[in-house]
Amino acid sequence: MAELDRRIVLWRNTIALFHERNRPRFIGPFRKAGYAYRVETPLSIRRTGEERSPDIVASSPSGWLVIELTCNDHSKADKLDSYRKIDPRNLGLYGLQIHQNAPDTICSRLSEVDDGEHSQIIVKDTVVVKKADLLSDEALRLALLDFSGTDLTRLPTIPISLLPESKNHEVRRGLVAIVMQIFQPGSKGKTAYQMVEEGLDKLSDKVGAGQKTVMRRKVEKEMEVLMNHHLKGYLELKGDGSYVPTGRFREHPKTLERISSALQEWAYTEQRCLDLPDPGAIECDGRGSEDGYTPEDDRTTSDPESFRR
Amino acid sequence: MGRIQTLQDLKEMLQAGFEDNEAILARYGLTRLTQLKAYLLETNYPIDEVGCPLGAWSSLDAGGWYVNRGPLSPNTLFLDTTRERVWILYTLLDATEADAVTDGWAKQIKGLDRCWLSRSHLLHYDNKETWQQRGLGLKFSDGLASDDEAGRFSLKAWYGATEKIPGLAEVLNTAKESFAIYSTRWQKLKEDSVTLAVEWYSNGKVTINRATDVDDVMLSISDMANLYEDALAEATGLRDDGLGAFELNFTQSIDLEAFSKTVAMGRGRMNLWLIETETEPDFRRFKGVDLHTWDRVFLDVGPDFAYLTIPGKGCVNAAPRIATIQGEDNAGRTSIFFDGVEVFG
Repeated sequence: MAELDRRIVLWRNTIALFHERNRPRFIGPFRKAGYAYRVETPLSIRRTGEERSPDIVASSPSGWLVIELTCNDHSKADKLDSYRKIDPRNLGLYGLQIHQNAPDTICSRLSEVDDGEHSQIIVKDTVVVKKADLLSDEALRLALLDFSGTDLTRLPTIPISLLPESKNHEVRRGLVAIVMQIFQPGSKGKTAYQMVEEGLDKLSDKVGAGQKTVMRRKVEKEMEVLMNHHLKGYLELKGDGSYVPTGRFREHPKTLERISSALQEWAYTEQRCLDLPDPGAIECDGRGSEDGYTPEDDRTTSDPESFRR
Repeated sequence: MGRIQTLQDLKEMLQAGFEDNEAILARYGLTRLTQLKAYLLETNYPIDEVGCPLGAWSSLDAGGWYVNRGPLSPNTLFLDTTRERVWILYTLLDATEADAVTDGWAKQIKGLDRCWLSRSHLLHYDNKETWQQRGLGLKFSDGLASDDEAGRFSLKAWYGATEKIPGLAEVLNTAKESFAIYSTRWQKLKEDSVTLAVEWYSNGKVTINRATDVDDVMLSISDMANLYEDALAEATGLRDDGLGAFELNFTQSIDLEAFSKTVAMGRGRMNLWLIETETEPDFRRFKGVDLHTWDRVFLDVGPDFAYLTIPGKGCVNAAPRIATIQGEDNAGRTSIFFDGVEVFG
């Protein structure tokens, strides 16, 4: 099975820190410290009104914080510095508790990078907490230190299955369940754009039109491989741009198993021989490299300013 | 059957049935009344987008109440749509036909489903002073095992019998803790007389075995509908406010290999069509669709627990449905939690 999608894992393991489970017993440190959270919430800088949408904003009776999630190996110090100027009086718009002070700022990553004078949580397989002494909320500081070293490999999947910077194999994995829905009896199919919207889930409103266009092209490319190879004869593209089941599909266990197996092969085995260069990576800002990596690729935030570039 | 024009007509006819009042029943063209049943239905649509499973709906005088008209069994279905998310379908059809009509309707209409009552719902009257439990039904189909090896368990017990066989009460209690409850029988007492006897089922059905007052009957069914609607609203809020998952805790260990094979084909009572996306010896992740609604679901499954994520605007009714059906099929007693707190309870 291919390597797990790093960005989805980053989001999953960070979100889990706000939740609690019975089996296996797990109380996330933010949950323990009484924090409620919102994802990609528009806020503004005090006085200038400049918009900022931190990946996660959260508050508790004893403090509030913003978290930046990134797989990028560049420092996020500047971005996190700017978050300190966010006006906390708008937290009430999202049902969060209002505080007067600047937020605690945390960068969540899968590997350590120097993010300046900001706290850091590394959430790969086990939690590592860095610079916890910078946190002003004592309850949170203690909860995080106490949590350090906890196993994070068996946490619930999150509803987001596509991110703006998802690469080709990640796009396929993100599309699996969305493609399965196309086989609903009487289905009118789905366009690539609809698939992007569904895959982004709660991030959909925060991602700009340009970035969605790039994502749509990535989806079209991967769907072409699926339609012409793995699910040949079961799926077709109509003139209006929607992918629909062909007349050959019948809701029967054998057919469903055949499609399951084809989707698994398409999404969860290496597929380099069928891949074309990733158009999204190149068109994003023209700085694509051989493996499709661009600095933009590692941005897990949907910073509207970046998407307008 | 004669025409029912008003809610009062309906109540009068039902009351006459409870009292075997032949004179009043005759006004509706009846000599006796089939046992009254009701089904709690979870809906995502208004009535005009859903249609009627037998003929067409016609409004009664009271807002939100409908009766079926047409050539097929007219005046046998009565629908209370006064709640936004939970409807109550009352019916005088015989049990087999009523079950078939309700199942067919829910299957045909995407966005219409049964209400799936949790153990807490089924035991709702447990500490109510005027209510007394009279029996329960337990079920474990061992649906992931092969036919030869399946260790099925099915039991329906009347509580009166426990006093006649020493040790039976202990066996019942042990079984109750290990397996899913699919029905409970209750009676309501007033001055030592039974005024209402009902049996609630995990699929949201209730049968009225004995009653003295139609308003009492309708009120008790409405209370359960309200409880379920509150639980749906709570679960929807939890899903919408964050990116968390529902947690299902089981009492029986699941054979993960058999689970994976079953859901890859969309087979079995669970009606889930899933693809395994991550494999560990005692933990697997799945993505796919809930074939009841064709909504997407993500399921992460351990030996005695599962995390259920419902993306987008997928209906949260999937949580109690999957918990109920999987519990009765292969997972035993199942509870649903969110952040350690029981929901749909």
